[in-house]
Amino acid sequence: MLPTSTDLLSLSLPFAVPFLIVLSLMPRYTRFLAKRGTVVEDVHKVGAPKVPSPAGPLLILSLVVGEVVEFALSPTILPLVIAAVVLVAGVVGLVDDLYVLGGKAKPLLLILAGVPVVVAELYNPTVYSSRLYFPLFGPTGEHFTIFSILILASMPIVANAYNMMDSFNGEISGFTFLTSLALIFGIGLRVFTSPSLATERLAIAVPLAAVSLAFYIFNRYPSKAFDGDSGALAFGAMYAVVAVTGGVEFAAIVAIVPAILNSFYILSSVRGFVERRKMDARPTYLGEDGLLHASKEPSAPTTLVRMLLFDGPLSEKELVREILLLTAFACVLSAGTSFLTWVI
Amino acid sequence: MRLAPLMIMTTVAWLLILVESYVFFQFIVPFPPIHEIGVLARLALLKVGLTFGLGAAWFAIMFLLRYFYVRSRGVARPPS
Repeated sequence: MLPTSTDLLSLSLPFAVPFLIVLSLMPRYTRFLAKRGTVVEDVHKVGAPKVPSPAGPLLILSLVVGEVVEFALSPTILPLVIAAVVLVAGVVGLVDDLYVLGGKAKPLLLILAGVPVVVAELYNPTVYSSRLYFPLFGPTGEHFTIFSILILASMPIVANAYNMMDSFNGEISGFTFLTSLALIFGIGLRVFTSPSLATERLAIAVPLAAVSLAFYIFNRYPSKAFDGDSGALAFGAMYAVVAVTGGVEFAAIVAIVPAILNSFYILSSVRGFVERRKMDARPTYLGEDGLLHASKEPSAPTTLVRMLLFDGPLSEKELVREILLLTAFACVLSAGTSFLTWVI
Repeated sequence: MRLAPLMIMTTVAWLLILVESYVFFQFIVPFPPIHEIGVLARLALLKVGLTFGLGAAWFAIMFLLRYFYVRSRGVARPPS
């Protein structure tokens, strides 16, 4: 089934509006943050320059506006559910930005981000399908209770996995943009091979790509803005809920395999949920040569970045390029998974 | 190319997802429903256990791969 002109409008406006909001308001917003002294040190650069943070509130606003635009075009409950999830996760992140939540409190609070999805499904059973679609083998049976518990559990897992990919200039924005493309590809294949599904399932994913792409312009090396936990958690929670409503959970998991491995390797290294500011040792350090080196401390967490640096030091720009290349590779595998699920 | 081992780990993670899907559908799904009681209850428990086992196997293999990767670099080991 080919997209109609209405479909194209429904896809282009939720992209253009949030993209332009970030592009036009971010310079003013970062000046406002800098004027208020709301800045953090960019510790991976010589001299640790100060960078305005958190840009999360503007990113959350843009994501929500994108969903409101989609709601105006096709007034169903779906965009409102996505907006609610983004708001809840964003507020948890903002509280963490301002007051620093504990290592266990944050994941527990993030479970709340999944509540709007499950409640919406109870009142309107079109929000998601309580079955998993496996590549090659098709769907499982309907299991509302188990599936809903998985949705609630997925919010802290995915949002924290995103948050742990937010360490270097351009890392989180590039990672979110690439993975959102994989998500859009998977949902697109599903929507255009299943005539019964409306394009809005695809359109609700578009603001994530738009906002992350626009933010990349400010977040790439050398960063002019950091998103803070509010931005990273909102990105992660939105990714999870869009994957669930789009029915592309498997492809979505494959696209973020680097982030999942990163977070589980960190959790196993530090043995549990530990707030990153309270970790004994950092995974990397800035050498006198201005390059990033893998920490030689045995107690340092084995992050993806540290593993990459085992082969020798890299500049921050080179390091982020390697991480994004690995993410792009995972996204190609994700596209293969979508193809095996919806076409073959 | 420093990315190659990490790409292999990502590919293994992906292949495991596909293979475990096959195992799940071919061997675990045909087991009796988990709410059935009586003589089949033990089989039902086995069904839940095997499903968790698949997840545990995924993580175990990924941790093993990391162990070999880190060991091959000869770093990050506690001093003896």
